[in-house]
Amino acid sequence: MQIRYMETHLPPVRVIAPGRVYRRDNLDLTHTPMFQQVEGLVVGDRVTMGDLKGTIIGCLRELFGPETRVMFRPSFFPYTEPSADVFIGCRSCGGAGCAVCKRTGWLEVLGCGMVHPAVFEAVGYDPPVTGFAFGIGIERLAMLLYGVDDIRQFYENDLRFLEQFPV
Amino acid sequence: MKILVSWLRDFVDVPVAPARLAADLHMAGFEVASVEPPPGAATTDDDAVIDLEITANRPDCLSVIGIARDGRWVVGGDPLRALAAQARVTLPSDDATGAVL
Repeated sequence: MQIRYMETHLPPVRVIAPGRVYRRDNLDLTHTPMFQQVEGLVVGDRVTMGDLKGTIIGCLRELFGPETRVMFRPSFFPYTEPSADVFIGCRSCGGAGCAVCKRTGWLEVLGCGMVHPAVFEAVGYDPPVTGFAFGIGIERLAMLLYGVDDIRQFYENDLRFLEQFPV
Repeated sequence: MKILVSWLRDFVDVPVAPARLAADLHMAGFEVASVEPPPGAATTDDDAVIDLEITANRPDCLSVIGIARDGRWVVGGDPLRALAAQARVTLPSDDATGAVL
């Protein structure tokens, strides 16, 4: 999505792209082979990691409350460099460690990073354009927000479940 | 990938407890899946097996020497020099190796 947009538009770019994602995965409490992801992309002059952090932290505090603790940990994604996994302080135990956060005190909520220069090269953007991107699995987020403990419930079409979320 | 802390010590000084080493490696981008006592031991105070998840961009760290080299900011010493000493290989001058380390 992001590539296609950049191929047909000049910077600056601000895109939110929700969509279904399919991958080989085994069904369990937190995994399905199909889920929804919301991707974001910002490209412009001198977009920095500070912009990325500010956006992500602001977004998470809007969703989970102004006191939410947010942690960035270095990670790897092929199309961003540097990349980071983002965690929020566990809402069940307040960071002390419990079964929900596997005794780490942190819950992984999204992945993000600064767009790799090779991506800009591929879509024909010239330096010094920079940008950041992130991807959030919205079922994961909904599970945390509403206390749903099994991701499969979103797709079982059980009315007792669905009717708890009026349009 | 599982790393034995005492094996790491063959190459570098590890001045911190295994649990702290694991925490530092974790925040450096090597996600720690588990920290367990080595076979026969009851605690992780002296030695530990650290299970690290190495991301696809760091195949250089799929070895004990790789972790030792990358972890030099948390541990002490000179892993390549220690390796050379074990292999009885003479390295060029400090300046020359300093450039490649």
